[in-house]
Amino acid sequence: MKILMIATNNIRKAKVATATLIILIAIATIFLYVGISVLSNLDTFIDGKNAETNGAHFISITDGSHDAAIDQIYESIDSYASSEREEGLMSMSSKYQNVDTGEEAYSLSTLFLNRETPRDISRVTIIDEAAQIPENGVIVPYVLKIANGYKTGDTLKFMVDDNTTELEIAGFYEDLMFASPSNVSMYKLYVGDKQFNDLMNQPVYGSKCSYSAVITDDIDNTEAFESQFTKDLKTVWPERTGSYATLSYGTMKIGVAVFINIIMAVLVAFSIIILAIAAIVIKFSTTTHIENNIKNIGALEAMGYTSGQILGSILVEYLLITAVGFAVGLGASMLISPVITNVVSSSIGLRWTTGIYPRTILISLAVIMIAVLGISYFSAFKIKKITPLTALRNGIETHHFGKNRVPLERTKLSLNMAMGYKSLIFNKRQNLIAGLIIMMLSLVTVFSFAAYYNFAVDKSAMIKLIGLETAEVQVTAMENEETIFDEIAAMPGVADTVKLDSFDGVIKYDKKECGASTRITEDYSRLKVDTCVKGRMPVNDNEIAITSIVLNKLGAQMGDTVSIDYNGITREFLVVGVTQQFNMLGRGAAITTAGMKKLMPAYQEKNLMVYLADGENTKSFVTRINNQYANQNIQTASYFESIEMMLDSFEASIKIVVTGCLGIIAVIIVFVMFLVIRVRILRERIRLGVSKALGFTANQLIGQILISQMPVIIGASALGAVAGYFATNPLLALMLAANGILNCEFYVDPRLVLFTIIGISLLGLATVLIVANSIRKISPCRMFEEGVD
Amino acid sequence: MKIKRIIIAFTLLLAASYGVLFCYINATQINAVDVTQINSVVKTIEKDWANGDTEKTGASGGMAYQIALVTDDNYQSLLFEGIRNRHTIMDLTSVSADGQAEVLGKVIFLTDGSEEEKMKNNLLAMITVVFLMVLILVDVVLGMVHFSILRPFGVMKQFAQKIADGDLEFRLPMDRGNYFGAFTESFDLMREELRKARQGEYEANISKKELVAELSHDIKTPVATIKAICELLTAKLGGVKFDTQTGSAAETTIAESIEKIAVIHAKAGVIDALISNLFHATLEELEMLKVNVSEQPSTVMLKMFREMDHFGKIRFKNDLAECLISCDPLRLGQVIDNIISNSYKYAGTDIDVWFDLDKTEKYLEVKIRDDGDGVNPDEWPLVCEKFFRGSGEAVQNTPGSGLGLYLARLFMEGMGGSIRCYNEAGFVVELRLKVV
Amino acid sequence: MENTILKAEMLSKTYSNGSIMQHVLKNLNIDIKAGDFTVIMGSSGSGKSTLLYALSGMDKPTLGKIDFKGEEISKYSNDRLAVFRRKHCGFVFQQIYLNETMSVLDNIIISGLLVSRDKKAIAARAKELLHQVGMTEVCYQKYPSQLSGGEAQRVAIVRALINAPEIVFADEPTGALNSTNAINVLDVMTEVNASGQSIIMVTHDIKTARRANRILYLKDGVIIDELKLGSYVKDDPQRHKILREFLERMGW
Repeated sequence: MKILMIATNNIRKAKVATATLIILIAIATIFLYVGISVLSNLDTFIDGKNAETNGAHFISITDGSHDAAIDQIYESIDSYASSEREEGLMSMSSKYQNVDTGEEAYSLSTLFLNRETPRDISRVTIIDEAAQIPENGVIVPYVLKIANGYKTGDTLKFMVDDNTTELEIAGFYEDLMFASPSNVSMYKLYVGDKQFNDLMNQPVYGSKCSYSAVITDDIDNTEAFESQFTKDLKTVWPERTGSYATLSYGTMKIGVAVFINIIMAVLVAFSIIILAIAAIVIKFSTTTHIENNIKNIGALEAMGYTSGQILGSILVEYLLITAVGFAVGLGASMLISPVITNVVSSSIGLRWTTGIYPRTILISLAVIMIAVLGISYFSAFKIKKITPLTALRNGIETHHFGKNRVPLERTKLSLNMAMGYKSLIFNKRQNLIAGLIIMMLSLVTVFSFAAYYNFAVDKSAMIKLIGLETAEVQVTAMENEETIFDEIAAMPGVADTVKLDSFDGVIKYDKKECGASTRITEDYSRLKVDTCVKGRMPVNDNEIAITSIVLNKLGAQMGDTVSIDYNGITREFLVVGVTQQFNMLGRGAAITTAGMKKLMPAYQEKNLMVYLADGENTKSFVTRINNQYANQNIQTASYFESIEMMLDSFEASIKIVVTGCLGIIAVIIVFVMFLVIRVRILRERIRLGVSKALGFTANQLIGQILISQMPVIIGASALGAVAGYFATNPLLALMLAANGILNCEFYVDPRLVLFTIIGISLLGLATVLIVANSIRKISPCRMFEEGVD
Repeated sequence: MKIKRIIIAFTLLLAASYGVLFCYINATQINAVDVTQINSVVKTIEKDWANGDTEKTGASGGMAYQIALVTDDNYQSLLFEGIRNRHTIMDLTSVSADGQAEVLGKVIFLTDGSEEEKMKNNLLAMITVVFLMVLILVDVVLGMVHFSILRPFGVMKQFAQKIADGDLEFRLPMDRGNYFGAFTESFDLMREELRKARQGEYEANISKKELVAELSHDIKTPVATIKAICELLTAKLGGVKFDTQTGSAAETTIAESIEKIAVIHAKAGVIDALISNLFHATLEELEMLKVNVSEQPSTVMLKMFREMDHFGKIRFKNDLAECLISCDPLRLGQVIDNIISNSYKYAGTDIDVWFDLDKTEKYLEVKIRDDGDGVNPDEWPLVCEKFFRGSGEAVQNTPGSGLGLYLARLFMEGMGGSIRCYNEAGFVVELRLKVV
Repeated sequence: MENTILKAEMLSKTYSNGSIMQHVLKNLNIDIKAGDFTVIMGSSGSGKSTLLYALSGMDKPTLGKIDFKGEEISKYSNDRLAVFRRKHCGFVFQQIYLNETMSVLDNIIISGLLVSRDKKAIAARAKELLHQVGMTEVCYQKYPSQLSGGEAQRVAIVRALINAPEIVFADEPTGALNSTNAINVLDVMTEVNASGQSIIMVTHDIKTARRANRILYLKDGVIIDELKLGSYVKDDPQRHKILREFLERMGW
């Protein structure tokens, strides 16, 4: 294996480049392998988990008034297989606090079920079960263990208004339907027989409900089951005479996986960025290698090696490096698998197990190999064009017939400026590549900063993206709504109120149909958050605005006419606008109250959004309302607080991603500048030596390199940052396009743009200075002696 | 390379113009009607109608409309006229008290039909521009091909003719974008490379000869083996001879063999002796205290003195002249070590050091002097003798072997230098080192 | 007595590679007088180039001192040496080493700008010198790769002369040229010397050496002998003979 010998020799000679490549490939492997393995196995994993406990495919929670009718509807649907029904306790305005972890109290709705009820669907398998379950023992979702750090034996305070019950955690359960509160903002808790009855007997804690779980024949079409069920239910259950909720497996599965899918996609994207950097490294080091060894290459060719064999040796070199890097990366990803397990588990609320996936290994290996070998083949392809003669003559002859842009005779620039400018022009191709990389990185930096600012510092743009109102309090009244709402609007401390209701509508167009959470209000211009991205919000009674996801699903466009079916009444609506929203998986629509009255003439808004004046305490206001209308059938909730809680869970992840991004960007910039300058100094060794001989001092030469390099760095970072200023929102919209987001309005602080430019420039300056310092070591005459004699 | 770029640019340009054209045509919507706007207008009309203050013709939201009521006499004719002119027609309804919708008539939006004409003209203009662009591009490319390939090719042809005629001095004029310039240079290079190759071959021969010469040195070992085997054979055959009958054929053969082996042995001995002679001197040297003389910078001595300066008593009285000296740094170090140690032992005073470079005689003199009692002048020539120890009190009271200065002299002489000891307000040792 | 401008005393240069030391120059003593055309000869590896570079302040000697008009330049820092070189030394290399990215004129001007800021004066002087070495105006904006070897070397000579240095150092200036070009370049150098410019040149070509008025022969880092020739006279057979005999004696 002569080729192998040449290859290993090359590796030995270029230790630094080899080491960096191995590290880069290892990092790329970690990201790629972890990303792909989670992305590709999540679906089967969740299905498997669900099958283990015979998890429900569909759940409905009602007040128990129509149980028989509901059972009939179940049976009337073709895919129905079996169902179970049990009694539960529903508490809408409950609060929690784990005394042992020292966390603050937070509000979340609750569904209590009796642990001792025998059940076949969604069986409870207890993890970390207490040796002896105490009387007030409670089994809580697994996500509390992995994400919030709850332990068996902890005391959990359960509070409704001013009433408190202490429960002791006796174990954890896994159930996709109630896996994570970011998906369904409700805990399903299992308590013992006695505790259950105790709670049931105290109406302050909540109301009795009927909980039924259904198994269907087709787990992949549970959403169809749900829409069929809702449609049928409306025929027996007049709107607004009671409440019910439904959950389907399909929707929950998507919801649970959405966040981890985003994280893993980011990982894969990062691995591709790193591969791109590896490609640049390969390009640079191959070019340098060929330039430095052109005589050796010529000698080898003269000896009878074909250029193909020499090219082969370079490929073998990178093949070996890739193999080592991949092995290191794979080993590292096995080592960090506990971390991955933790991240995935806390995100999906189910116990993820990291295994070894041979197929994923093969896929990542293939991706990396093809990328590395491809780029090294193309960058080393030049060898094919080298004849032994030209090689021995020290390089491919280059003739410069370019125009003299800066004749020294006439220029007003100082000597160093002129020299630096000349070499800036001369190295334009290299500068272009470096500039492009820096530009991209600068853009990403601005993007990361902007993302962080809008997610963590000023959340208003994010809230708008989600599509929720910024009202502090939400009041739902079942009777006397008009008087109550007028009274609330007149209360001191209330800045504004808007009647905003919503219902699950089914929108039809051209034989296709799609469910959408349809909002209803009198006048959309009164809402604080405008979700319209195209056209306008409905004004007339026959107009509707729909999210792009629903429109795409229907195949409809603005200007088309869709119809809404409601309790047997069908009305046509003209699509006058496109809206966007992140919640409800992007499925939403909006009609006016007048429009709703066409569907249901007796319709009245029952939901009021209350905007409090500045400085008004949400909690005390909620208590005040509850006290004032204690004998009325109303529900009051702190609306904005629960949104903020959801956002906070994102904040930590965004912080990690942004910090990671910035770190990697800094490393890449240092790396790229290091390579560019190193290669330049190597290539221009003789010119630098001659310049020194002619009397240039090392400082002058370093200054010239700075002058030739800094405009590229500053210019590219400025261009990139400014591009980032304008491109952040379109980019974000592009990234979120799958969620039906067409338009973002993230605030990009101009100071951040400036900061990015200055930061990147300083980083570049420092790197260039440090690397260029090696010019001092170049002795003006050693190199001539190599050349002469 | 250039052609490639031209082709790429050409393709890109064509693709771009195609894209622009495609997008333009694609984006043009024939009879695009703003449904939303129309709906709004109709709704406004309906509302106004209910209030009873609407004209039968009018304009709203930038759209001219005409209302045709069912009750109108010319209702049908208005309707068909509108349809013929491709006007947009909407129902005009009112909601009666019982919530039932009732059609009152039609709203006809008057659009003008000149759009098709405009589009036709636009299309024509665009296609003309594109065709002209393609034409110009093709001409430019053909022109470039002519100037950058065909013309130089003609020059090449002339050049080849000259070469064929034997005119090797003819230089191919090179200019921008000449594809053939490298050939000319390559021819001259070929001759140059051939000459170089022959030179290399010659040098390789010389070094091979040197290698053979060196190898001959290694012959000693196999010669010794031959001798040993000869002796072994003689002994063995001698034993066999003893056993066999005298006078038998075997005995004669063996006797002859022994004789021949003796000859081999003797010859091997000769070779061995020759080689031994060759190595004799070296072997002898190996047994001595070897002095490895090399060329060293004089500055090495400063380090040696400094290493010995445990008590801070050594003072350099002048600068060391920088030059290259012949010495063995190890041995010279030992010499200085001995002299300084003696001074510490017997005098214990400050030590002064002078350096003096004699350029004509080519030596570097190092004078080391202490402020001690010195040596009896009678003993000056003897101090460097083997096992000699001075008669002075200090010397007699201090244990010592009498070897230090003897070795110093041995080493100095080995380095081609000399050592001299005398008194001059203290004991002085004067070292002379050969300058290269 | 002629005026000594450069003086080396006990000059040694040692290259260390780990523990192995190689003494390239050994205790050399040299005087260079103003107006001298000194040639350093010797076989390959005798240390000719090293001597040239040590004398020119491009490299620092390991031992010994170099005196330029009373200044001990061997003690200078690297940067001070650079400043010294730009003012007092001119260089001509075998490989020519013109900056390929700059035009002929710019190549000369960058050297001039190191010493003076008066661009116009420098450009004027450059053009005058170019004219002197027989370069026409057509060449001013050409790039080095468009020149023949001889032309390029003449440009390099102008570059060396632009700051009116006391000494021009030339390292085998004709080594990479064909004979016609070599003679051309040598004529220029002889002419420059005749106008009083001191030159120190390394060569191993006898035709080149013939131009000098003083020849130092270097062997294993030591000057084993030197030959004084009168100033150059064209086609002087006697001169050639003396030189030939000297070199034969040296084991050429």
